[in-house]
Amino acid sequence: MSAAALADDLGRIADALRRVTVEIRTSGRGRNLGAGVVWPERQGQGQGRGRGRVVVTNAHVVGTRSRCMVGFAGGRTEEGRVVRVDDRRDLAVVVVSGDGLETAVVGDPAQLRTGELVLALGHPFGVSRALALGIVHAADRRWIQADVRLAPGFSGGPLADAAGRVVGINAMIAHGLGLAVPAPAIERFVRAAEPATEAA
Amino acid sequence: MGSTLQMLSDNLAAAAERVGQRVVAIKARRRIPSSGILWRDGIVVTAQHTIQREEDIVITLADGTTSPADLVGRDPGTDLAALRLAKANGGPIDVAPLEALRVGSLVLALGRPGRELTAALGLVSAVGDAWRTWHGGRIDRLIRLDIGIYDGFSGGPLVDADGRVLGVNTSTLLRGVPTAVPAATVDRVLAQLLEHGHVPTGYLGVGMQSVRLPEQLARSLEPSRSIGLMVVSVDPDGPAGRGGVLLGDVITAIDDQAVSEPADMLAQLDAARVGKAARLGLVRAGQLASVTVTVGQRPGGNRR
Repeated sequence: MSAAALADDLGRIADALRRVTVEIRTSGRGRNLGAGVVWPERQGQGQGRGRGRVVVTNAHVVGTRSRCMVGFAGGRTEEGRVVRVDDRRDLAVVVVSGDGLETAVVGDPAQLRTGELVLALGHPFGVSRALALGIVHAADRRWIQADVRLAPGFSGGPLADAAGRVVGINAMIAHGLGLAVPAPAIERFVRAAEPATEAA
Repeated sequence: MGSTLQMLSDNLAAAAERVGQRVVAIKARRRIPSSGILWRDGIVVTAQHTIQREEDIVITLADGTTSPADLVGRDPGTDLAALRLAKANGGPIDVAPLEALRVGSLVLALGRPGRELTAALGLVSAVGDAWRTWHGGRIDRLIRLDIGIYDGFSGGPLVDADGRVLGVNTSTLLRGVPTAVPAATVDRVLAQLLEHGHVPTGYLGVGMQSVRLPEQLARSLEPSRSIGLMVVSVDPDGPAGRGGVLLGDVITAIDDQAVSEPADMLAQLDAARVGKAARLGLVRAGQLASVTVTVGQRPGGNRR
């Protein structure tokens, strides 16, 4: 197990995560920069050139707005429409025009083991698509608790396992731990938003 | 996937799972339980400072069963305590040799501040020689960690990527810097706790403070040194008081070993000295002198 091979793997997974991570910017009072993940629109839809119209992020990133600016990995920016928000689960769905965006490969957080590696991607203090490495701190059904050093700007960004599968999105920092909303909760939320997504 | 990253991840998770079987939750304080390690059959080791009551201690094992536990003893010097519980087996824990400690090694800190096992990832940022804590305990290696301190850190095991235990974590010995008491020290202290209920420590019954010696006297000492320990209080019934040590004496040596800080004296007063005669080199009224005292044992052990 060489450090160079580790670095290669990390770089490869970080690149894949960067392609499915967006910047979410709001303006005006309480303007904010957070992250979001391009989520598969249909369950089981693999990574690839899907329709990629659905972006998930945290409710606290978009606040009460109905629109926000979404910045994609290639540098393109467009206005997205916030179609569903759940403050309790801190989730929001933003719909974009799509255009063959790559979507995240979704993993199963129930398979996570305490101590296994996790990667987080976000925009800490405006630094675009920065990587953080940590481990699963505790197996918890409601939140994934990760020992990973997050900062403001990681909100809404992906938390992935060592294979690059997105197991949740980072929502907050509590006592130095990163707490992420697990993928199944996001999946349910995205399904529930489908009527609004279709209409958008 | 078979990638190197996945392999490392699997190793870390396996190490956490393996040692996690031996990590217990200890209810001996209010609010959040502290962590401990089932070190050998029926014996749990933890960080002494997390044990805030000595009765009604309950331990939750990895399988979720609970058991009452008795405090065997504690040693504030090394921040270690041992607890005994009726039914908890598994044999001795798998410990890494001291030589396995290397700067840069990836390590896990495990804890169980409740039912769930918790883990933090970090690395060994420095390894030093044997050192003395500010409570006078001797620790076989200084292990400085670059790792996050979360609930349940103190008293939990420091584990290497192969799932071997390197030591017991504590946040209090190094001014809030996370550190670990190496397994070799744990074994040594545990043996004394099991035998005596505390770590026996020599006792003189004096309060001491470092003072600068007059230059002429300093030069007349062999080897020459400029700092001694002024006696600022004497327990008249203590070993030094009975041996004739007076208030204002400046102690410069014990059995020809120079002492210039109270910690130097503590380092000399280990269990082996208890009950034995020791010659104290002094400066008294401007003259070199010496008195012989019989080293006693610290009253009340180290229970508090």
